[in-house]
Amino acid sequence: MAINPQSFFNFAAQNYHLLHDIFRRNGGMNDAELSELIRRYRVSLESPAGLIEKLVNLKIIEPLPDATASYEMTRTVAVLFRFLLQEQRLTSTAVIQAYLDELERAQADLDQAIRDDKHSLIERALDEITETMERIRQDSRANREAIINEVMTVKSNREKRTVSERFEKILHLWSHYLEPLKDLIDVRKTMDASLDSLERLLKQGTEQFLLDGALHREFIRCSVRLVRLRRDMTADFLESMHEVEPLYVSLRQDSTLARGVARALERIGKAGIKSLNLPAELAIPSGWLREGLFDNTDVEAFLHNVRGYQPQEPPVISLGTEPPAPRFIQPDELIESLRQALPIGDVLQWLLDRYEEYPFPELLRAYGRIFGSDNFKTGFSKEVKSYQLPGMTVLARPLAVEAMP
Amino acid sequence: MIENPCDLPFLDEIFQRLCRGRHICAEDGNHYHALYDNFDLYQQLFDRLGFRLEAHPRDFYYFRGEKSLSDGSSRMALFIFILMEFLEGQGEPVAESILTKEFVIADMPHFTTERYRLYMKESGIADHDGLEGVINNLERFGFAVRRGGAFRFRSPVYRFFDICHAILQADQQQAECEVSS
Repeated sequence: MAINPQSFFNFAAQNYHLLHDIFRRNGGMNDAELSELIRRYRVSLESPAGLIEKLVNLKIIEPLPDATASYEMTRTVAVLFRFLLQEQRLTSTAVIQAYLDELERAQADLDQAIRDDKHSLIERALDEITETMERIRQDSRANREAIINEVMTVKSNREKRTVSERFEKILHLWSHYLEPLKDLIDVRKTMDASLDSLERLLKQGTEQFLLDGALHREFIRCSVRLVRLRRDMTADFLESMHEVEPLYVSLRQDSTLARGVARALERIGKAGIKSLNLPAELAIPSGWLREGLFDNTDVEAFLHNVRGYQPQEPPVISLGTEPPAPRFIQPDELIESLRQALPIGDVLQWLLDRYEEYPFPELLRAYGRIFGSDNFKTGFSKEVKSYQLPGMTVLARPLAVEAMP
Repeated sequence: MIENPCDLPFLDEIFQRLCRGRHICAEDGNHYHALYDNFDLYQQLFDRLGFRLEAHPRDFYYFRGEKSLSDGSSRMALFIFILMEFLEGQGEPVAESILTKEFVIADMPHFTTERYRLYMKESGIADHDGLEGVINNLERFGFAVRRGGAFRFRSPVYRFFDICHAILQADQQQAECEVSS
């Protein structure tokens, strides 16, 4: 049975508080609960049973499918209430995708109808396109309102939910509604390409049916709606992002901190506080350095005592009567002495004469240095010579040295 | 242009403070501004003297010690970790609350649950006096400011946030390694 709109709105106006309370009962209510509500809010002497019948007839409530004598608000009226109370629900991506598919199908129909020049089919396709665009626009706006509501709920946190729980909620909002919404307006994505192609088709129709007044007006109206759809969707997205992003960033930071703290406390509980090695991590100086320092007064007092101090000769440390035997022949000095004595017929004898106080191993080192030097021309004699040294006799072919030619 | 490092403003006071482990932030006025304006010179000078001056991205300065480190670090960190967890459980924004709220010492949650009491015992803090000692240390190192029976944190408290991030990151890396192996 058709509903008289005027009767519907009159009834709704008279019984607003009752309707609002029914709307809030998400899970529905049984006959007794509904009667109790009616008694609380009724404005006339009408019996609860009579009023329940009216509510059913006006399609404000309907019986629950899974219980007898129990009711819930009809979806149509609930949607109207949500709209009026700005409590819209989020539209899922799947629904939006379905709209897009529908739009593409209607666009294909319009394209074909234009080719066939069938005016009635063109009008029908334009109606469908307009209807779908309006649904997308309304849902986009509803999403924006719903997102703002969710953000406000998370911000106010009346239920005292933890940071992690709130972050989960915002993350869900972000990934399930904002990201898809972004895809809808992203110029590189299919939605935008599809709307571009629709725009071209509508432009073509506007030009093609310039002389058909009614059809031409329909094409223009549809084009204008398309412009409005794009503008509103972009505005809805930006507004939603504006609301969600700061909260998302702040909750993400808090959530990371909370998880870090939980891990830290867990480790302290299991392995003790030393397991975190916090003194090394924080590396805060203990401040002991100050104890090792002295202030200016101390320095002045010290210098005052130092002033007028006469240094004394350092005490002589006796090393015994005999001077220590030299142990090392300086290579530079050796070469220079040799250079001045050139030519030398027997280097070993020269060393024994000149450095007689040096130990024999050091003389041999000097002998080796001379033999290996590139500064002189060397040559051995054919005859072996015997050298008498304290406690030993050395047999060798004398090494002759002369200056390089 | 300062050519002689000894002409750096507030050099002795700044050095004394940093040596004692103090963190210098904008609230410290002249000392902060002197470091902010001449950071490179201070860093070079302290480096020659064997001290490592650090500038934190959140705009404060401190010495990173190497050998003689404060053993109060663990207790300060535990104090802040418990407070952060408590705030999180209360549904408060953790970072924002730590950075902006003034906390009454008598209302601290550190001895309210058995778990917290165990943590505190583990770090050698047995009672309210011990808690006062930790808060005094936080003030001494420039992490907090006391006002009577209350205190609030200063921006260097971000160093403890960094620790939380580092712990979480290390755990995640370990988990990734375990998965890949």
